[in-house]
Amino acid sequence: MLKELDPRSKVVLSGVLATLAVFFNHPFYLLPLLLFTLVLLPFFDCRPLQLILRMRRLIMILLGLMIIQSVFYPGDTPLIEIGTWTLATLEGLLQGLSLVLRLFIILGCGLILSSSPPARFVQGLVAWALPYELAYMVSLGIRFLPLLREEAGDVFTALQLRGVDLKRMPWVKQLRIYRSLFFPLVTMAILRSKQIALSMEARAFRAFPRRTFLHSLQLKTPDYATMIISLSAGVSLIFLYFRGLI
Amino acid sequence: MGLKATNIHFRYEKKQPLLLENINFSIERGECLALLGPNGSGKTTLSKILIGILKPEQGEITVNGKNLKNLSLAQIGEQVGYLFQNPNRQLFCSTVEEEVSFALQFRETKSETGKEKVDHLLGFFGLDHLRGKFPFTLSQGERQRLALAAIMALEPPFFILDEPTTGLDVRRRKELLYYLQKLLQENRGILLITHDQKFAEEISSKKMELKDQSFSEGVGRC
Repeated sequence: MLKELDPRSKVVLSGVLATLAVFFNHPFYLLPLLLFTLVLLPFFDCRPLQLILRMRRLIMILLGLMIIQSVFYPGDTPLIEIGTWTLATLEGLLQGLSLVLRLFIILGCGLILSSSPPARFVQGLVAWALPYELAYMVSLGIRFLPLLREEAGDVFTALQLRGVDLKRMPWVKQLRIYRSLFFPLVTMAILRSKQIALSMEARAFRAFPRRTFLHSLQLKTPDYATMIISLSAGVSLIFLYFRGLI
Repeated sequence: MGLKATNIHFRYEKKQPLLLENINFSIERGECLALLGPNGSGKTTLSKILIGILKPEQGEITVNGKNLKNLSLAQIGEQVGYLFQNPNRQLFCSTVEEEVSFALQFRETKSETGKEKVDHLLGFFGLDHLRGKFPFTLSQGERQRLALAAIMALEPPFFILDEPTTGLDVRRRKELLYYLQKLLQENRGILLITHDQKFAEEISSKKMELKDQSFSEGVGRC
């Protein structure tokens, strides 16, 4: 199972996929790349459906982005025209589609990375000579996200339970409400980070210059194979893409 | 009438076993029902079902005869005041006074009436001297009382209080007991979720223990 791979191999693999997603600028290349990412996900114990469900709430934003791109991106093949004014072009539509596909691929990479426990992820980064403090901050940040989401949900519920019917409210008022949600969330995050810093120091964080780990990480053959294949495939694809050979 | 749960079944995921099975109870106005149970028995889950945050797999909740399914969260909030386990999660204004008056602004309450009400609530919960303070700088007990005052602004007939004694010292606990007794005197119904048996006995007229997905009911001290 690819889930058991060393986190460093996963970082390389995700890095290659994300880099390709950034370089490729046409759905013709991005769609196969997304399909490949979706095929990979079950091997990392992640469900492709999870990715689609996560994006479900953003579907309107994505559609909006697509429309904006198709309207404002310059192109020669008009799709919708009003008089002499071109409202949307094929190039713009493809550009919008590329943007959405790219987002899906990058989120898929995030799922691959999250298949390793945060502690192992920190170890992987430390093994790459990243200072432990920095690596720990990265992992702590990742762990904070679901908590922030949960807190946001709770505050949102509390707000509605105090008689705020968002569905019946004009959007300007809604925006004001959303702004008020931001306030407690940031405050709570700051307070919690202070508490965490204190409790970490109370448990001797940074008391000694070097740190050991209970379980050590070691790169094995599948890890080397993953890294070599990903890197060589990535470099080759970028080379072929820019040479116009694919 | 009252707050009534009928035949509630719930699980978080379809593959998981039922967390709550065949839950039935009702609370009338002026009555306090204590819901006891060990950690992880589903007390908070049940409270979230009762205010419509979670949807039951089967069964229905009614408040004063109205099915919760047909009400928005804002409408439920007018009927049931919910005190979160962690009061920090329901405070979102920059001052104590603003926090208490928040709900009134959306009801378009006249400023004089609103001010009177805010003054009353701040006095009722002993928060008068803190009205200009930032809620997050208050102590745990004060925040607990502030959250309670904030939900009381809507004057709901029922309250669900999730572990309200957590982190309170003996004095604050006694104060909370006093405030809850005052709420009962005002003919409001309370569902008290706690694992503090002693506190439950002091305030509640009925006790129920959530055990193995369902209730074992016992009548406590009236």
